[in-house]
Amino acid sequence: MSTWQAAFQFDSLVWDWIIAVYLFLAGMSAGAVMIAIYLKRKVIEGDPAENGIMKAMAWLAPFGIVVGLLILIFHLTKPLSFWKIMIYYNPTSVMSMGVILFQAYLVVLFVWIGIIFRKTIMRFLSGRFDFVDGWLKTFGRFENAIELTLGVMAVVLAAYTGFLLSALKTYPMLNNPVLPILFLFSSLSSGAAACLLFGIIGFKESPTSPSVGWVHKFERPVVLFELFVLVTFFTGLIFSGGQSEASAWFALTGEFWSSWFWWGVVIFGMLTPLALNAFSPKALRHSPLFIVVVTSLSLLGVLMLRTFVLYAGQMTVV
Amino acid sequence: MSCSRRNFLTGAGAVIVTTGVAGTAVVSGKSLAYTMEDGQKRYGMVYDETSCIGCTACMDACREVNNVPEGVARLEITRSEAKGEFPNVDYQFNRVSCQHCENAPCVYVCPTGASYKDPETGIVDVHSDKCVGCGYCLAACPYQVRFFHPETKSADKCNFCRDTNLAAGKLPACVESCPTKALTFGDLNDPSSDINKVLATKPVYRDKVHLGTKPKLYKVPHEKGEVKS
Amino acid sequence: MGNIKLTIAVMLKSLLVLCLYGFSFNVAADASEQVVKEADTARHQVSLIRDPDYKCTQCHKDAKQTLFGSHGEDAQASIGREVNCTECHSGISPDHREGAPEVIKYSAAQSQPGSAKQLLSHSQILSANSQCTDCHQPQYLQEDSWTHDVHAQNLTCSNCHVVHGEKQGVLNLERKDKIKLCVDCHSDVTQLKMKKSEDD
Repeated sequence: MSTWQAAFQFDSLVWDWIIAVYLFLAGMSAGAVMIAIYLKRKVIEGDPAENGIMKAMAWLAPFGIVVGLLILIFHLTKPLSFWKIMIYYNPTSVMSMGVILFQAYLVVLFVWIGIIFRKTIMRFLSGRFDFVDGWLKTFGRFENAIELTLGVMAVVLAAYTGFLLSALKTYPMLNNPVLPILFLFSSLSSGAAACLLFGIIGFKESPTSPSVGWVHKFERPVVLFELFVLVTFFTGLIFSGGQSEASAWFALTGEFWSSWFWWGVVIFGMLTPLALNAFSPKALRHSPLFIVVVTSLSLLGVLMLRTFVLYAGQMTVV
Repeated sequence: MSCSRRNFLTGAGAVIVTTGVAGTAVVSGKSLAYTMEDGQKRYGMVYDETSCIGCTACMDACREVNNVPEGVARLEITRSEAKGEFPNVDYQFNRVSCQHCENAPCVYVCPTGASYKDPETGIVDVHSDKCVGCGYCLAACPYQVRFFHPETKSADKCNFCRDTNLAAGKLPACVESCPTKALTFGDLNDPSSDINKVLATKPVYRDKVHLGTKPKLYKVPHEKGEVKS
Repeated sequence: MGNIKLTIAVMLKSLLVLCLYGFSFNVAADASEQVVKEADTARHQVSLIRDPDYKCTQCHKDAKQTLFGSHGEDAQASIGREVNCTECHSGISPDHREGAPEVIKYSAAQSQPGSAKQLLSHSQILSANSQCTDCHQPQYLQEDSWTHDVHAQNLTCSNCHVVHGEKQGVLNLERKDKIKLCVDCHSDVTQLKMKKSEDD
């Protein structure tokens, strides 16, 4: 078996790369929502529906969550039974509680986007389904409560993906209290990168606008803190000894996954965007190509982080 | 920090609504994942490594009685490396099958409640109609004894022949088929049962006890070498 | 002067005669050595004037043929000769002309069904099996099946293997039947053990 094959196919593997993609999409959606809520409340002046970042989020957040869930449904061994997971629940199961959260999050997200983009939506519908306007106006009266609820739910959702994996006693690298925090911060960084990429390139938001400026400023401490959380994560594992320590050393120094981690996740996914954002000349910083490169590196880095955690985590069994 | 009272209260309400529902459900009510010790049976098994000859008759019996397809197994007997020189070569055998934990991780994590513990017998089983095939229980089981049944697509594992032999009043297929009587099955709650007799007279260990799963598959350790639990 | 010539001639001739005489001794000696050697080897060389398995096969008529089923061309190629009866059935004893009653036999007594088994001691079994393991070495047996290791001191090879036959005994069995072989014998052994512990 080649190294590549051995890294992706092994006996103790249960959840494969499809789950990694879902983790990435769910995290990106939650991160984009958290950033958009802050922008709307504190940074944007005027109609948020005009803001490129908000428009980007309006597509990214639902897309991320819906596609993520669709991927999950088709990953089930009994995809046609997926509805059972929506009506049966188990309060001790992180996944069950997550599914309830997802369902509520989807509803609140769509309502919130509907409230913000009511005029745009009505223009798109051009005369049909007039009752939607009435509904959105009614919901609009509770905009503040909806926004804050959505914000809390987005935070919980971002951390949920970490809690889901950390409930697995089988894999000492995943069975870790730091994992939810790591996933929360990587959600924020992927949400920020996605918002910037689609907001500036897709929705023509000016790179010098206050929103973009704020997201840039926000990104740096997030990525720095994410690096710190990574250090905490692995240090904690090593200090735990036994299989936990073995799993950490394997992930950091073993064949294949260590290269994936150091080159893909850390160097190209975190340090390079940080450096490019900090040290590039001002003129370059606002060029579209530069923005595409830097945000794509960030996004790829987060996807690689999720894949790394999932695969390297499942390689060592307690 | 500018946070109006209205915002604060709304935010607090949102947190309570989001987390409180799940929290109350967890704290209140006796989760079936915990042991029912009063008057119910708690079925367990002892696997005697000193008696096992590694013939794998139990594997075949399990496959036949429970219609387990080829390619997956509810029960496996593994063999160690050869230790010693001819003619004094020693092999150690190990049984890999569901431990029917009292604190079963698979029951905790199942999102639909398909994985459950039968309160009357303490046997951990699967409602295959409720199972959607998410694989969480396969990942959550630290003993790695669960698999997806190729035909029903549901999660599957040893269930002490609950719906086959036990339902017919017999002992589990593996216990019946063992030529050296290396397997003892019985009710741990019954002081006079065979299993309790064995547990009282022989040294036993269980796998991965430090995880807190409280497994019910006991093993009499091989007479030579280190006991690896 | 004439006498000297004569004397010299006589001396030379007698020298020649002496030489010839001495030389002839040499020749005779060589010849007689050869003669002596030939006589020695002729005396010690035993040429087989009959088949060593002949007497056995007078009664055990098909034993040689059945043996070729398991120890046939491949075995003969690797050891350079046929496998003879007495190589395994040794212990012929001085009574071999009376049908060799003391010859070593290999009964599958231990694996016969039913609890009554003729259980031999470890050393007896090892010495019986040594006839086989001299050629069938333990490390190759281990590669073929681990079950050889655990039965090395407990069972004679003939309990599972049929030497007088082609691909018989355990070699002929499918996996399920092989397991049945283990189960049948070990059930008896377990019963014996349980009876013994009850008697104690």
